Amino acid sequence: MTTALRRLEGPLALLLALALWAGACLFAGAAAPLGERAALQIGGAPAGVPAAREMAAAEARTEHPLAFTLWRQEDGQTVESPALGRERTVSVLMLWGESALLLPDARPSLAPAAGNGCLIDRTTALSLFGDARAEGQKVRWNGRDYTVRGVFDAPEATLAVEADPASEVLFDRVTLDLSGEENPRGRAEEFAMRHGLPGERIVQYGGLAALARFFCLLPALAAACSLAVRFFGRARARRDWPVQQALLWIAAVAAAAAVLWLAGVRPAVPQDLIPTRWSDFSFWETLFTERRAEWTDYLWMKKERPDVLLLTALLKAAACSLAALLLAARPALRRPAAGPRAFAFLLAACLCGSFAGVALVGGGELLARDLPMLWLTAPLWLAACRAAEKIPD
Amino acid sequence: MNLKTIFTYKTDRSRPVTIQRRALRLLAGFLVFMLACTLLSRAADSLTVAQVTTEKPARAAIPHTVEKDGRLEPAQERPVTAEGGILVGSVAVGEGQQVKAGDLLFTLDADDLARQVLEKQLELQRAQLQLQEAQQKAALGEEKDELSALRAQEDYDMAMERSRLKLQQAGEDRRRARQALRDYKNDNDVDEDEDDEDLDPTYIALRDDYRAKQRAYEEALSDQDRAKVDAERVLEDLELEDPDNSAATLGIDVRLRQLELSRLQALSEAGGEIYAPIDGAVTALSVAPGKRTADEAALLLAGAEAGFRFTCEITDDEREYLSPGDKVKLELPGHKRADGTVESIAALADKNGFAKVTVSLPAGKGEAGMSAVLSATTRSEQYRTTVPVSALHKEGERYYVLAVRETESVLGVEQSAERLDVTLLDRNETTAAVEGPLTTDDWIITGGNKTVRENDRVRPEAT
Repeated sequence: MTTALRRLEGPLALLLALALWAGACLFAGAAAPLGERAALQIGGAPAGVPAAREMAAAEARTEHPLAFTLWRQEDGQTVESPALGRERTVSVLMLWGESALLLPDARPSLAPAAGNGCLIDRTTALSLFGDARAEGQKVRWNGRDYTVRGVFDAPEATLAVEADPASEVLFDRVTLDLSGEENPRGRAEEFAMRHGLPGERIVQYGGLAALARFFCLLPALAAACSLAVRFFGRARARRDWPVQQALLWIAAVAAAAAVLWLAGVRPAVPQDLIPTRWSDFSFWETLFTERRAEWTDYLWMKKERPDVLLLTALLKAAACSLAALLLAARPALRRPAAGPRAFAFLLAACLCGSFAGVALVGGGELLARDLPMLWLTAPLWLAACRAAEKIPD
Repeated sequence: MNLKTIFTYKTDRSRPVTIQRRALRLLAGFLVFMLACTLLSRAADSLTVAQVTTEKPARAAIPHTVEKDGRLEPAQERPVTAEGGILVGSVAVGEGQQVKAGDLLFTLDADDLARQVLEKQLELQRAQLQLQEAQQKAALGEEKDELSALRAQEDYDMAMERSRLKLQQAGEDRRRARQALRDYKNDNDVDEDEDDEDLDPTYIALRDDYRAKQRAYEEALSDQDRAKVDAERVLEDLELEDPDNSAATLGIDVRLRQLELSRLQALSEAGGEIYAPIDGAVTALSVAPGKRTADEAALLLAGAEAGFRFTCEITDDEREYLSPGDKVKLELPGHKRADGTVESIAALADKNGFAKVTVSLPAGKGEAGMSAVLSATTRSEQYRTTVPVSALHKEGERYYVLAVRETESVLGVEQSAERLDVTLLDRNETTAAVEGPLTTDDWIITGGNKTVRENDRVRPEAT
């Protein structure tokens, strides 16, 4: 019995590690769209609906218009289900623009013409209607009935509605869609200048999303490193045979590169972090000062729903990734496979783990996006480890 | 030498390495290192220099476009009324609906209408009876008044006669007493200045009698005046008595009830149906099934013949670009366009910082309640230096642009970004008019693949 458990330890650890890795990919994937946004805080004179319309019209007249959504969060609002008479306190996001810019996972996206449509989070839907499938149900807020168009996952109770055009709501945030922009910061500053908002605080979420992506790729980096170490170890042992040693070096680099490539690692340094002169040390000082001020501001500022969503996704991705690494670092997985049968068993566990991870946390979308990473990286890593083990000392 | 030999080639570590061999290895390593450094520096150079887009400042006017959503309102509206307080049975139209003259608008409840007709008939009858009673009372009152006036006049005449006779009697008595006193004084030598103790008692008696008659005469005279005033007051009071108009008032009331009843009867005969008097659109509807009609208009109909006007709100800043009399474009649903003229721009009392713009449309354009977009473009004066807004930066309260400058360095000529402080004169969403140390030969940085700061090395993209 003990022997059987010991044999199962490795495959089980691999299975769990892959499932957790899939979770990390899912959460990093949830953070990715938010990373392409920037939030502009309108501190001076908040904009109302007429000003929002004006901004949209002015933006549409430009050569490369930016998509944007104006919004405001009202905390401690009571919503109720008119049919069941249940109440719940939520934070209400009043929007003017596409809701997908703030809540990318909420489908369908609300637009200014959404009328009485709204989006609610899953826990609010359960509290109000006893069922998370609340599409079509009515929610009453501020004496007005809204029809639930979609339900989304959020760590806190949230209701998102398009602002009533006749209301006098004042928006204090603008979220910009900077996806595909070569210089996101520059474009955000240009937007602010165009609409008379220069000097307002711009919060860019690219750094947080990149951090989440890093945690998603961390298991792949670890796998590549472990492979390279194994091959280099073998190469070191073959130093009297220079041709074989060189081939092993090449194999080490190739195996690590293949794992990284399959995992989707595409190293890139943001242009804003590269000085225009290597000898310009003031650049680093300025960069450090600016970033420190921005991050300090961000750390202490009130976190609105989009911030909470991004930070939660980041923390979940980090937790899953680190847990997957801890499991993969178990001695049972570092030991060479005892024989072809054990190796086949490991491979099967690997595929099952990938499948379980996909089924548990993502589904089709995750499968399509991270297919190579989950289905090929781990088997390739196992096969390469097996190959390295087979090389005689 | 086959592949297997190459693959299994083993170095002979027992053979010593000569100095020449070692030097050759070091030289080869150094050359490889230098090659790597060169490649790295070239790559770093191409990676670090910001690629920027540039543009030369231009002399231009800045167009300011005002685009506003608004609605079309009828230039004139006609109210459709119904008797107040009647239950509405059904409403056949909705707000914004187009109707033709003679179309059914809404129907009053037939039972409620019949009940109200009956009630009004009874009320009319009651009012008519009240009128008859009032008329009889009024006739009786008139007779009483006439009799009272006659009696008052008689009382006046009698009082005047009585006082006249009394005065006449008092005058005669006074005359006799005076004559008796004169006769006595003529017959006797009487010194009137003497004390009564020294005078003749007969004289004193005659004198006192005369004085008493004189007082009686004066009293009679006074009584006559008082009697006259009293009698006249009685007559005046009779004339000033409140006229009794209750019968006339009731008569008017009856007439009004008759008119109301005839309207209700006409409505009842028409089955309680209210029809559109003209072709047009329903712009306001205040009736609803199950509710009673109010005294105000049940609905408003906007006839197309009077045309429509467009209204929207603009900010105070935008007022600068729009004036009464300006020609503007209106985009109507269905990609239809119409030209309009700004009629008025008035500040909104209940909305600080906003003004209401009214634009008149030519007849036949649009429909009531239709949404439309106003578009008006005003060109500013010609500015000497304009740059794209993307070239403009702000630090604190100061605006600046970055221009490409060529400078000599130890590595040759390099291009860098130079900061030029400017004053912002005007701008729209794409272009800004500035004033500062700029010439039309300067290349202004309008964008780039990274954020460019002052003195950064830049490489303008080929245009």
